[in-house]
Amino acid sequence: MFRLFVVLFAVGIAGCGGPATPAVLNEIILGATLPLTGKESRAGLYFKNGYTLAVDEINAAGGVMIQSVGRKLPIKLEIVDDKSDSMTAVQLAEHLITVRGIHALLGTYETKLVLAQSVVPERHKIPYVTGGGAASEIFKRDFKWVFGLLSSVEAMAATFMDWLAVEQDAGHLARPARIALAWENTAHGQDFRAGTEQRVAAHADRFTLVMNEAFELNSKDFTPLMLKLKAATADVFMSDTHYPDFVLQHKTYLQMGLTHPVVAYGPRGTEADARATLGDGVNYLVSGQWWTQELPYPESRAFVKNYTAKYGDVSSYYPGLAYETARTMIAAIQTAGTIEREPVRQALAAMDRDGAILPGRRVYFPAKTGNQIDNPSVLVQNMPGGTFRIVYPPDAATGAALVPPPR
Amino acid sequence: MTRLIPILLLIALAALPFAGPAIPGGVYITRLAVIGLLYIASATAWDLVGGLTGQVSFGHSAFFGIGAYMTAWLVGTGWPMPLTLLPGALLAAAYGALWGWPCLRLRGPFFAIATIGVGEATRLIALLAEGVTGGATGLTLSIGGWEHTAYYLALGLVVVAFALSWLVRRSSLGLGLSCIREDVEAATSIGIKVGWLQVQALMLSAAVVAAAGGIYARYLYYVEPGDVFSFNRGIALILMATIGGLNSKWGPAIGAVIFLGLEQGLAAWFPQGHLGIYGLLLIGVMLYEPNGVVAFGRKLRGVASAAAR
Amino acid sequence: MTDSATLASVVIFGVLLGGVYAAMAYGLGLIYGVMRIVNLAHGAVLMLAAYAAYALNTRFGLDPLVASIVIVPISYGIGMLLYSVLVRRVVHGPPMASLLLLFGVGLVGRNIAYLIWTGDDRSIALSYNLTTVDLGVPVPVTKLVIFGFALAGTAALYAFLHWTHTGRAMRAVARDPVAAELAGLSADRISARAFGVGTALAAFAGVLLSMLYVINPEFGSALQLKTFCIIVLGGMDSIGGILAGALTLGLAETAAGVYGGTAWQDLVSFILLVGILVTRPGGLPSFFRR
Repeated sequence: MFRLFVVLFAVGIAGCGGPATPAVLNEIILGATLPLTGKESRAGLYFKNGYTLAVDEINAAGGVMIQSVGRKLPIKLEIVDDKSDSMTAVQLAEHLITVRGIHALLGTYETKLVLAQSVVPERHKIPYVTGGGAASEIFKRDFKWVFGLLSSVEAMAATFMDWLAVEQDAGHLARPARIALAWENTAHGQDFRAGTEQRVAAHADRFTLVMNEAFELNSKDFTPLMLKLKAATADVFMSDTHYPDFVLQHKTYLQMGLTHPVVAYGPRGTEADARATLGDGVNYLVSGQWWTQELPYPESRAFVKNYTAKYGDVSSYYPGLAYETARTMIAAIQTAGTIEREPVRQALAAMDRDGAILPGRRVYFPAKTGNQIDNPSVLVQNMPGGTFRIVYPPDAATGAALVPPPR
Repeated sequence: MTRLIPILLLIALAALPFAGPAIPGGVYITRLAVIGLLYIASATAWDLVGGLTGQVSFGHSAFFGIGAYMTAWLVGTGWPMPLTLLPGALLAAAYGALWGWPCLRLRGPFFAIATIGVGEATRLIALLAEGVTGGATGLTLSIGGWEHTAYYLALGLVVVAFALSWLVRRSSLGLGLSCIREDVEAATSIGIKVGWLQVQALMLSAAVVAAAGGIYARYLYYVEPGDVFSFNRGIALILMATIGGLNSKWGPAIGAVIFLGLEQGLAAWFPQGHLGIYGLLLIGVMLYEPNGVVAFGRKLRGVASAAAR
Repeated sequence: MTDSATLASVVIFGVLLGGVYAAMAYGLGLIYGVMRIVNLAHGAVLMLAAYAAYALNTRFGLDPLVASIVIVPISYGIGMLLYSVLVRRVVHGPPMASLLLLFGVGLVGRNIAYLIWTGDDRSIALSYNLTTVDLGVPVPVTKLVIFGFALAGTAALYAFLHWTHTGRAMRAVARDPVAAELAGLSADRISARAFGVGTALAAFAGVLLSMLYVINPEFGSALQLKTFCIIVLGGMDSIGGILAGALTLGLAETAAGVYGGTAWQDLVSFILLVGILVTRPGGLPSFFRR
């Protein structure tokens, strides 16, 4: 029996390892683990599409110029499934680096997966850009190799509150405004709550928090939450949600006949399938977006066109973030002119790139935030007929917000 | 000769971190081996309850998580990491006694489903107890220390788990647990303290699994309720022990190695079909050898010796 | 929040949620009752049936309730097949064998969903999605329809098990397979039918759930644990018990959400599960037996 154990152990180990490092460099290999299955599989799918599109575009243009070999090299993308599981995200990142010989690592999606995974690039000293982990916790660990393209969730919540203040000053919203807050019990939700609470505490004259409720991810009944919301008689209902919870919450909200001057579901609301399910019920919802197809920049417009042609729906921020994440890494390699890790890392650290599709159009990684980008997020309001308006910040706005919505 | 193999294997495993960089893929294998060793120790410990006693527990994720969190807290207050495993193991054993005492009176699917309840309730409480556990965001451990700490602790834990399993099986405790597995009423009638014996088994097994959780926390430098208390951890232990062979000396360990190889290998090489391939393999094993690989090995040996004769 | 209007809402919505839970649990309860098998593929059946309803809706514009006319018989066939090809061979083996075999079936089912529909979230657009009926509080018709089916399901299952030959044979097999064989029943064939009916019931529940929820390949996994709670509360093998267990759970969760925190809803169901098991292993029905 014991011999069997030994044999299996050896076979198991041999099966997992394998040869690495090709002799001649004739392609650049970017690796990524993504949650293609499990709780985050929606995001995983869009991230895969975004990464693939960015790489395909570069390859169609002949690849990336690498000075050290004196010619353009194509990019190969290695994507594996981390099953929305922290340990798998860590192990597979190790696998990509040590067995598949990738030259740089692109991040997975969801804060907790990135929190676990970011240790790996730091250990192996390999450049890592993530567009899927927003919690500032990730960037508080003084890592040198980890770069974040997603502004913090606290900042997004703060953006909401700043906009509410603008609406108050315009006389559209009561002052102080009674805020009802609900947040999913995830890292994202915790940060959203923190950002909101900070602003409420700082501006007691403007805001009162009348409800502060956590809920489980993928809940199957939001009736109690909505009964509480109804009893709270709020001016603003803000909820931080994943897509399925957003649809179920808003469905319950509409069925109960609730109305508020402002209703927002964090980054949700612009999705095309939400309109298909809830119809005109999604009109006038406000959402905070790290990227949106409404951005008027030419690069963003071109991306929307190409993405839609290839994959269809681009109504959430995931594909845009993924696309820009891959482009950022490629740009850093281009600037460094080599796939040597340290020069690429330096290119990322020193990066101040224009022409990004993100709000603000710039990509940079300030040292004071631990290499996390500090771009504004934009607020988008759904309009009747499936159109959208960017309503905040003023310099990006494409129209005025309707607060309260017309009856 | 056969007796020498465990010692040789142990020496080989002890040398792996140093030999690793020299072998192709060795660095990866060394890292993967930490998880493999933790699986082996946990599955062997789980089998004391699930195999030897015949009480299938889905709730061992609770112990794993308690150990992981204990290490995260204590390391945060400056304890040397290896020392944190002991309080984690003790707390988990106490927690095991707390719910084991009432629940172990149940048998068969009733006990199994009760442990699902315990495991999930523990996870949800950890998720809600934000002040203690950091909530969904979890706790991070500071990076650093000797690179191979987790590896050697895991190797040590495997030795402890095997020793424990061996000692229990040879003791009157093991004998009593076997009686309970075969026939509870008969066991009670001959004066075996059914409740207390089962609780002892659960506590021992909880302590080892909690220590594995503690090492895991050091390995990942991050703990979060959805990961360390995950329902899938409970399922994974059951799969390992059953694939290898319940209630056997080497079965759970063999199962753990197979489980790890499949889990990692399939996800790395079959991003589209790993769930299905895994499911089909599981179906195949259950159809053709429901008693696990160990039983299959015995059959093979039987065939081989018959052929030799 | 402590007024009588709130209490009325808690009762109404708690009972409606209980109806959803009952519909989910009948299939699992029947299979356990007849074969003593905990069907770990139950969640996958719920999920795949919901996807089937989604596919028929988007392709042919069929209402899920109409689509169930197609889905339910096919599921019965699939259940029979699953039993004859796989489950039959492990049902008398070690207890873990059937559990893990069906867990494997569930994994294959999830993989199929990922391959066909990807990991994206889907939902069915229904014209009466937001329609409500005024019962003092506005109550969605979708939930009323499901509640109606849950009640009808209890009655139909009871009638089936007590007044039809096949149903009585199932009860005989459940009580004593050996004696049933002696009386000339083929336990094997009866079990296959029970597995078919259980799968069909689960599929019907999946279709109903597709009217309420956004579906994705992981959709069944969380519900599966909840169905375990329900059948345990219901005493594992009694049809009336399942309804009672489901209603208890629905009311407890709704009350916990309204009077406590929304995040406590799931916690309540698991604590209730352990509490009932430890104090009353026979589930709720044991309160009425002496």
